[in-house]
Amino acid sequence: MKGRIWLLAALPVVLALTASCSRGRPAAPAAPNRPPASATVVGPDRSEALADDLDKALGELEGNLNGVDTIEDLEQALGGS
Amino acid sequence: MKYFATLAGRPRKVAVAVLAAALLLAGAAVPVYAQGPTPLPRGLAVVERILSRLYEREQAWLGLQTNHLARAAQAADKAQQLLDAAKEKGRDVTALEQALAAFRAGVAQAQAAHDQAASILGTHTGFDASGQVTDRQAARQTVVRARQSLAEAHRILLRAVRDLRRAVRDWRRSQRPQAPAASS
Repeated sequence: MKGRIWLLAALPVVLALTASCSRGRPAAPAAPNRPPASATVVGPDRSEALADDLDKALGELEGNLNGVDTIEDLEQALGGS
Repeated sequence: MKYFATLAGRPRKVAVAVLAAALLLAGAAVPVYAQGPTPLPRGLAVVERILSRLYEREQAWLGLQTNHLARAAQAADKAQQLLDAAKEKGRDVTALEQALAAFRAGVAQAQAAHDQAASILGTHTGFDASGQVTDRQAARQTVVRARQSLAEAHRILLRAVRDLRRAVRDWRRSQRPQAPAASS
């Protein structure tokens, strides 16, 4: 008789636990739809932009190199010494 | 001395004063060069000043050229990026590849001449640590040899830069679509 009373008392607890477990966790929110990460995007003007950049860099360097007046100065000074 | 010893009183004082004056005059007449280094004749002093100045200028030139070489290396990287991008688009980059290879070789050659100049100036034969001439002939050799190496590096670098620039422009021109001939 005592064992049955214990069983009756435990039954609602077991049922409640079972119900809560079956509900489970709420589903994670769906990941936003992102486009797949692409590799290096080569735009239509990329090589043109790079060529412009290179031409500018070379032009500046050429200008600086032409601006070096040291050679003539030195040769004149050496000639005079 | 015997005569000097026989003098007494006022004549003796006069004789001592005359002797002292004579010794002072003799000391003043000693040439300056006996007391220190021989001053240079004017012409040689000018030559040494010029050599010191040239040495200084060449060091400044070396610093400037170090910067130019670094910029040339950056330009080579840019050219490589252009080449890669053009290749990805399926363009013919043969001419660009050849131009870039020639540019890199030129920069390496210029760098070698530049390093030679740096070594000559770093050794500074004929100059002391502060750039003053210690041996005119050796100093002149230092200045002449450093100038030759600096100038060689400059010449090679300038030619390499001009050639690459021209090659890139020609390549770009060749990549542009040909305009259709105007019909009359």
